[in-house]
This record gives sequence, structure tokens and C-alpha cells, in this order.
Amino acid sequence: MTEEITIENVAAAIAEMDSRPLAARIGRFVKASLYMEGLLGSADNLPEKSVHAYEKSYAELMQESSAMLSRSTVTVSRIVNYQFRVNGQSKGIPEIDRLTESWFRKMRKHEMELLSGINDEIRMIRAGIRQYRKMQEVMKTHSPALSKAGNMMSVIRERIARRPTTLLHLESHEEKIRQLNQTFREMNEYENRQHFRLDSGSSPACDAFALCRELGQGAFADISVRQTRVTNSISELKKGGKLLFKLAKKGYSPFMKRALEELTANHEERIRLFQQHVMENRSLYFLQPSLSS
Amino acid sequence: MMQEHSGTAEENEKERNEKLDTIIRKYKNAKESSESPDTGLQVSSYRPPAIGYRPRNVQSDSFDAQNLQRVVDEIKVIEDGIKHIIASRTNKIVEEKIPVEKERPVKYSVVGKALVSLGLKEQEMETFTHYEIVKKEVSRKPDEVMITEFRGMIEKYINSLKGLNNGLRSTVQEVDNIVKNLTLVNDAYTDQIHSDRRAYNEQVKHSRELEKQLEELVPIHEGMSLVDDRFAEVEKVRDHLEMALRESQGMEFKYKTNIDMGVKYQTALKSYRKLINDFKERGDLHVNMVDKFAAGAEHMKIAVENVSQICSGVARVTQSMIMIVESIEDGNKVLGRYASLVGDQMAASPQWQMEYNALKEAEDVYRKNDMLRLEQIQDNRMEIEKLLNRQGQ
Repeated sequence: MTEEITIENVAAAIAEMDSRPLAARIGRFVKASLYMEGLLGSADNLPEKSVHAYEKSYAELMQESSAMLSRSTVTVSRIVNYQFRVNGQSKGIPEIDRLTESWFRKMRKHEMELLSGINDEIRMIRAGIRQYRKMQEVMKTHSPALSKAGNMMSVIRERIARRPTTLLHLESHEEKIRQLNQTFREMNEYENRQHFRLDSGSSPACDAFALCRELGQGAFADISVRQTRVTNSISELKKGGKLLFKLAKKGYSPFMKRALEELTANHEERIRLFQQHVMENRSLYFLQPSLSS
Repeated sequence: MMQEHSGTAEENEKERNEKLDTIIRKYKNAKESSESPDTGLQVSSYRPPAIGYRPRNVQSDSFDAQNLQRVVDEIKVIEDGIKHIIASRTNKIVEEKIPVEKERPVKYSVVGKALVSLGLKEQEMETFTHYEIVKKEVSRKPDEVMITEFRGMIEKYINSLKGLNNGLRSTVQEVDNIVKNLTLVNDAYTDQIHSDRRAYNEQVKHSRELEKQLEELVPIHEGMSLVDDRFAEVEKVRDHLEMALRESQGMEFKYKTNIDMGVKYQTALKSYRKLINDFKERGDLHVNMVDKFAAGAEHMKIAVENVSQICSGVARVTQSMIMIVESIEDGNKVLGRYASLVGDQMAASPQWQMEYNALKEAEDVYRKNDMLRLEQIQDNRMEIEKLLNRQGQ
């Protein structure tokens, strides 16, 4: 059996939770990815330097997010394993002691649920980034072939525009000449077809990369929403952590009432939204009767 | 056409041979009658019979050149067409001398130079006219174009098309591989979405079990007295169940998010694949069409080759005709010489022997030439027939 966990251990673990490094890493990764996207389709080989920067930012992001996950796990386990005893800070008034205990319970739950939420969000950020990267990987492997094919097609179009055959028509009724004229006519017809004109403006390769860019934008918007949620949750977690520490050390005092009530009200609203979301999802897959019914 | 031609030549030859036979027979008769057996010198005493020689006009049948003319006309039309095309598609570079006004320092004598270097006299400048050679691209006239240029043009065109097509074909292949790869990725997404859906269902089931347990437990817990023996235990169980439910719901949430994300990516992937597939099909179309172009250009090359072969055929026909005429002329010359000899009746003179030898030689030369000509004409005829056959194929 290890040493008993003190409230100081819990407070230290909560204090260690910080959303800023993660935010910075996400920012760096998004920047590197956008730069990479810009390069797609324009170069045959992506410059090594930017590939390196991109890979580095990805590795750092993954490292930081997994570090955050383990930090939150540590925090949860400390909170769970902390043995709260009223005796320590008892003021000898049973009513206050009871309030201390019940508030401590509430705050403990608050903290754990927040941490659970943070955990979920970070996992989803990771999944989102992995998914996006998978797509970009696909695009990256296709990029050289696609841009090469695109260039090839445009060169062919140009050559055909400068074709020496357009004006060819020979005057004779001899069979060979007639065959030749027929070929010339076919060539002209083909060259005048609509899609040659349409192609000249946009290249399908460009469209493909635009598609990838759009996906990236969606993914990044989603990630940034989650990141904000993590940041907000962590600041609430810290507020709650301080109150938890005070409750454990000095017990309940009426001065804490407002802060405690505010936090729990916020949290209840969050839990309500979360529950609603969960139910909505279930009803979407017919696993739960619709909420309105 | 060829039959007529050779027919004419044969007739000519026959006629000529007959004439020569007559002459030689006469000559031999005369020789036999006058020759004494032991002296070759007595030849000089020979006198030909006093028959006046009346030169006949040697004539060949009129040559029917109409067919030949038609071929020549057609070739001219094709040539003109091609020349126009080449002229309109190419430029010639012309060098032009353009006068340019320039300045240079005036050259002074030794004294002048010294004065300038001492700064006592100012260096003056003088203007002069300099000619610069400027290269200019000028459009060409059809007359300036060589028909053989077309062949080069077409060949270049075919080669560039073929090269391009090879490149295009390989890139289309690559794009095809991309489409295949995308199908694989798409399948992977489908699998992932399905497994996420299954996991989500399982998770929901698990959550609902916990919910049910809680539904039973919460009223009991809330109804319990704080001093109940089992209160702490129940409270702990409730805490655990609540946390477990929170975890489970969090998992639900994550699976759902994954499914949404997977579906979104798969949709994008599908439209991407469609895009690439369209692109690939267009590439295929390009490749096929360019192949057709190259084939068409190959046709043109063959046509141009035919034109040049026809040209050479015409040249050969002309050569044959010229040779026939030459042959007739040569024959006539020999005959004329004989005739004049006979007509002059100078067989007795020592001149005769010389003349006779010369004649003999001329006749030999003529025969030799005639053989060569016949061979050449024969060759030409074979060549022309070959060309015609190929043309007719």
C-alpha cells in the first residue's frame, strides 16, 4: 500500500493541469498543416523542411495531448483515493460539519466529471487530428501523380491548340485523300468538343486539393471548439480545486457559499446539456425514444 | 500508258533494225561483189552502187500522255495544298541590316592626342552610321516552301504526340492506381464506421444498464438515514455507479463523434474519388484521341510519301521518254551518216576507210547505248509499275 494521499497531492495535481501548452501545439500544427495544404498540387516533391516541421508539430501535439491525458488520469485517481475525514477541520458544530461534507462530496463529483469531460475532449481532438492526417496523407501521396497528370493534360491541350492539322484539307476525290480528309475532320470535331474548353480553366487536381482544404477547415473548426471547451473546463476545475482544498483544510464557511453555488450551477447546466446531447444521439440511432415523445 | 510507251519503243526498234538490216545487206552485197580475196586494201576500191539514198523521216507514234498529265495535275494540287499549310504554319528568319546612328570620340593626330591628355583640348565626339543585323521572323509564301519540309513537320508532330502520349499514358495509369487506392481507403472508412456503430450500440446498452441500476439505487440512498450502517456503503456504490455512467456516456459521445467524422470524411472521399475517376476517364479519352491523331498524321506522312513517289515516277517516265527520243536521234544520226556516205559515193577514196571505221564505232556505241537505255527503260517501267500497284492498294 502506498502512502496516503493528502489534499496537497490533489491540489498539486489539479494545479498541474494547464491548457496553454496544448493550445500552442494545436496552433502550431494547424499552421504547419495549412502550409502543407498550400503546397499540395503545386510542387512535385514537398520540401523536406516543411514536411519535417509538419511531422514535428504533429509529434509534439500528440505528445502533449497524451501527457495531458495522463495528468488528468493521475488527478482523477488522487481525487478518488483521497480519504476525506471531517475530524481534521471540524469546528465542532455538527451542522457546519455536515455542510462541509456534503459540499466536499459535491465538489469532488464536480471535479471528477470535469476531468472526465476534459479527457473526452482531448481524446476527440486526437481522433480528429489523426483522421485529418490520414486524409492529408492520402492527398500527399496522390499529389505528385495528380499534379503531373494535370500538367500533362494542359500541355496536351496546348499542343492541340497549336496543332498543324487544323487547316488541313486536301482537294481531291481520290480514295486515299478522302480518308485523310475524314481523319482531319474527326480530329477537328474532337478538338472542338466542349470539355476541352471547360478543362482549360480549372484542373481536376486543383479541385481535389480544394476538397482536402475544405475538410481541413472543418476539422480545425471542430478542434478549436473542443480546445476552447478544454480551456474553460480547466479554469473551472482550478476554481473547484481551490474550494476543495479549503473545504478539506478549513471546512465550510458562509463566504464560500456564493462561489460554490455558482460553480455547481454552471456544472449542472453543463451536465444537462451533455445528457441532452447523449440522448439526442441515441434517438438518432433509434436506441432511445425521441426526447419530445 | 506503259504498254503504249514500250510498244512505241519496240516499233521504233524494229523499224530501225529493219533499216539497219537493209543497209548492212546492201553493204555486204557490195563488198562481196567488189572484194578481192587477198588484199584487204582493196576495200578502198569499193564503190557502192549508185543508188541515191532518200532519207526517210523517222517517226514514233504519238505518245498518249493524258494519264500522265492527270497524275501530274493531282500531284500539283496536293503539293500546293501542303505548301500553303506549311507556309501558314512556319516563319522564316530574315536578317536585316538596320542603320543606327552612333557616337564615337574623334581620333586625333599625335599632337592632338597629347593636347587632349594634357586637358588643353576637349575630346570631341563625332556621329557615324553603324549597321546592326537584326533577325526578323517573316511569314512565308507557298512558293518558297519545299514539299519535303512537310514530312519533317509531320514527323516532328507525330513524335511529340507520341512522346506526350507515353507520358500521359503512364500518368493516367498512376491516376488509375490512385482510384484503386481510394477504393481501399474508402473500404477502410466503411469498416471503421461500422465498427464504431457497433461499439456505440454496445456502449449505449452498457450506459442504460448503469442508468437502470442508478434508478433503483438513488431512491434507496436518498431515503436512507445518515446513521444507517450501510449508508456509507450505498453512498460509495452510488458514487461509483455515477462515475461509471459518466464514463460510459463519455464513450458514447466519443463513438458518436467518430462516426460523424468518419461519415464526413467518407463522403468527401467519395466525391474525391469521383473527381479523380472523371479525371482518369478524361485522360483515357486524351490518350485514345492522341493515338488517333498520331495515326492520322501517319496517314498524312504516307500520303506525302506517295506524292513524292508519284513525283519520282513521273520523273522516271519522263526520263524514259527522253531516252527513247535520244535513242531515235542516235539511230537517225548513224543512219544519216550512212546515208550521207552512201549518197556521196566516196567509198573509193581512202577517206572511206576512216569514215567507215568511225561509222562502225558509232554503230557500236549506239548499240551499246541502246542496250543500256533499254535496260534503264525496263527498270523505269518496273519501278513505275511497282509505284502504281502500291498506289492502287
